Order: sequence, then structure tokens, then C-alpha cells
Amino acid sequence: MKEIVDIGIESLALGFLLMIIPIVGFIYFQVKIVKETLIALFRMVIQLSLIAFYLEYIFEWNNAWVNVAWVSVMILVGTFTTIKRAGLTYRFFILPFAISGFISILILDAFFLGFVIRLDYVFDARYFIPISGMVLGNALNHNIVGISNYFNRLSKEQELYYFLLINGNSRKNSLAPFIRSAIKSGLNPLIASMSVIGLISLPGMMTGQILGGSSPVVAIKYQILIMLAIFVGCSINLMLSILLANRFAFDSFGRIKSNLFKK
Amino acid sequence: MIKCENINLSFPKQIVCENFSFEVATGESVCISGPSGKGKSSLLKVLMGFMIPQSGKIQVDGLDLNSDTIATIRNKMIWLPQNSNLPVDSADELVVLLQMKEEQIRKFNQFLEQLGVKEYGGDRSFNEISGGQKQRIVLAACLSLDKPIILLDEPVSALDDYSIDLLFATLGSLPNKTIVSTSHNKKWLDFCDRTIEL
Repeated sequence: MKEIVDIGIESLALGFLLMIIPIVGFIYFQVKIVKETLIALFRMVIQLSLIAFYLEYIFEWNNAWVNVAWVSVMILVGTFTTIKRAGLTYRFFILPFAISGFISILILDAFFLGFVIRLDYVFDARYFIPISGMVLGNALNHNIVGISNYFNRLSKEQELYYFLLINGNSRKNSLAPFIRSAIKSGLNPLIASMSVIGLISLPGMMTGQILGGSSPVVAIKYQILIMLAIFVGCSINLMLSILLANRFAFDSFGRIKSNLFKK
Repeated sequence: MIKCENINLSFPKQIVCENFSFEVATGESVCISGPSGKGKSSLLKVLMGFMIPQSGKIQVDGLDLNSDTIATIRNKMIWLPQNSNLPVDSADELVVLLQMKEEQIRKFNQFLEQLGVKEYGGDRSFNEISGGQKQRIVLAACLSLDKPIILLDEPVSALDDYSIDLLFATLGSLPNKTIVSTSHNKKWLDFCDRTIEL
């Protein structure tokens, strides 16, 4: 196995020079996301540095409770981020989105780590944390798209919802077109990326494993599994989020609550 | 029968009605009339439970309108929204959205013919037709659901005289339907059994 080439701090800093190109582009086209980009960049560096530090310890301890606590924190951060990015109010959505996150991770980790990879110890930090993280990270992006689509459409097309509520034969049917559209919009990008994976995109995890010295065949097998886990995780999370959120987003007359959106 | 007793409905800057009461007998057609912006459509929304009045009592076929009975009450109604600005692109899409069964689809086609818009049915895009034609297609879809109470919000505002006559003939052919509508169109007011001034 070849030794991996480490990246020096200077080389890492050099990488940041490339950011000049998009920033110049943003300034040229007067796209007001320079500040946001720089903050996100700063956060990424700090968060990843801290994680590198934490993971060292977490891997060393390899304690089920600590690992579960770590994944729980990831789920809660994902929940808050989804609500914030979708422009919704916290009080109605923390519970449904957090429950969806926990259930989807529970199903996926139990299935993939327990039955597919057949780990003796499913909470093994080296598997449990990165796989949960990959699924949650992807689920976050797709949940934000799907959930935003769902509530924005319900809000903008209220008349259609009310039309179907009266003329259709159930509340379930009146929400069906909105749910279909949300699931499609949330998962379409994932379907598209799955269909071109290996052709125009080499996924980060696989690349990382190969760079880390794994054989490409092993890396690809893991990548296939992780893609399956991501797709299933995103689907379960999005569908559950919508179904559970429906219990909080409507009043007893089936009307959309007026204070769902952050002002 | 629809019974509204002492309805008080107001918005922050507008009083729609105060101690407003009215009854609509089964099989009767009634039009709520009044100037634009007075809140006629809001009153229809009260009957459907989309707006809750500050006070007052609403009964439909002996059922008090509340969160327990709302689903049953709504199941007795069809509603044609004003202008039919629904984000729906074709008659076929309406069939899917309303999850129509075979018998309802047959009736839908029949009503499309009666309302003079049969050629615009199927998958023909609503972008190619006028607002009035779209409104008649939506009405045909609603009527095919065959429910006893018909709520029509400004049903003739986008129709010419010929289309209004087709609508009268169609509604006239439906036995024992209770119709509650909003309009200030003279021809429509004459068609209804009674007018309620808001």
C-alpha cells in the first residue's frame, strides 16, 4: 500500500487562493453572496478543524453513548438548518424534522451497518459516524429543497389546496399533488447525480478512500453502498418530514396555519 | 338546509357582517349580493370552514359546523372559486387531481358538452383558452362529483350571454341541488330563487 502524501498547511493555504476566481466573479456580476461565501468558508475551516480534533478522541474512546450523542447532535443541527433555510418557524417543525432524522438514521444504520456490512459493533465510530454523517449531510440538502418546495407551493397555491379539500374526497388527496411535487424536487438532483456518478463525477468518499490507500474495488463497493444509503436516507427523511410536519402545519379545520413562515 | 345565525365576521380593517343570519332551504338557489370587496367570497369561505367567524353559528343539514363535523360537511359541497385561477393546466389534470372515478369522468364529459367546452377537454392546455372557458371546465369537473350543495363564487363574471344561458340550462337540469352563489350580475340574480344582500 502506498503511503498517502500529506498536505502541508502552506499547500492548504495555497488552495484558498483559487477562491479569488469565484469571488471576483461575484463582484463582477454584483451577486451579493461574497460575505455569505466568506463566512461559510470560515465556518467550514473551523468546523472541520474542530471535527478533526474531536474525531481523534471519539475514535479512540469508541464509546457507543458518545457516538450516539455525536450523531444526535448532527441530527439536531440538520433539523435547525433545514428549518432556517426553508424560512419556517422553529416551534412547529423542530419535533417532526428531528424525529424524521432519528428514524431515518436508525433504519439506515441498523440495516447497512448491521445487516449489510455486518459489523460486530454497529456503533463503531469509524463506520457509524462517517456513514451517518454522509447520509445526514445529503439528507439536509435534499430536505431543504423538498420542504421549501412543499410549504412554498402550499402557501402560494392555497386556492388549489382548498379547492381540492372541498371538491376532492379527503385531506390526504388534497395534499397529494403538493407532496408529489416536493418529493420530486427534493430527490431529482440526487437521481441525476446517481445516474452520472463515475462518468462526470467521482464522489468524495471514494476518492478519499483511494487516496487513503484502499483498493479502488473496495472503495467502489463502499461508494455503491453509501449511495444506496444516501438515497434511501434522503427519501425516508423527506417523506417522513412532510408527513410528520403535516400534523403541526394545519389547524383542526385543515387550514394552513398562517404563522408557519418566518417573517 | 344551510342555516347561519348571528354571524359576526371582520378583518382588522373591515367588518364583513354583523349579526348576519340567513337560511337556504334544500334545493333552493340563493345569491349573496353586494358591492365588490364587501366580503361575499369570505362568506362562502365561512360556509366551507376556511374562515371562522368571530361569533355565530353555522349548521349544514342539521350538523353544527365545527372541527369534528367539517369533513362531513365539506363532503356535501362542491366549490367553484372566483376566476378559477387554479394552477391546473388541463381537463385531464383535473381528472387526476380530483381522483375521478369512471362514472365521474363520464359525467365530466357530459357536463363539458352541456357547458359548450367539450372541445377544450382532454389534455388541451388551459393556456390556449379563455378564463371563461377554463371556469366552465372547472365547473364541469365539480358538477361531475355530484354533491348536494353547490357553492359558486362569481360564476358568470367571465361568461358571455350565450355561455350564461348554457350554464342556466345545465344547473336547471340538476334536481334538488342547493346552490349558494355570489354575484352582482343581473341575469344571474334573476336566475336565483332569492338574493341575500350583504
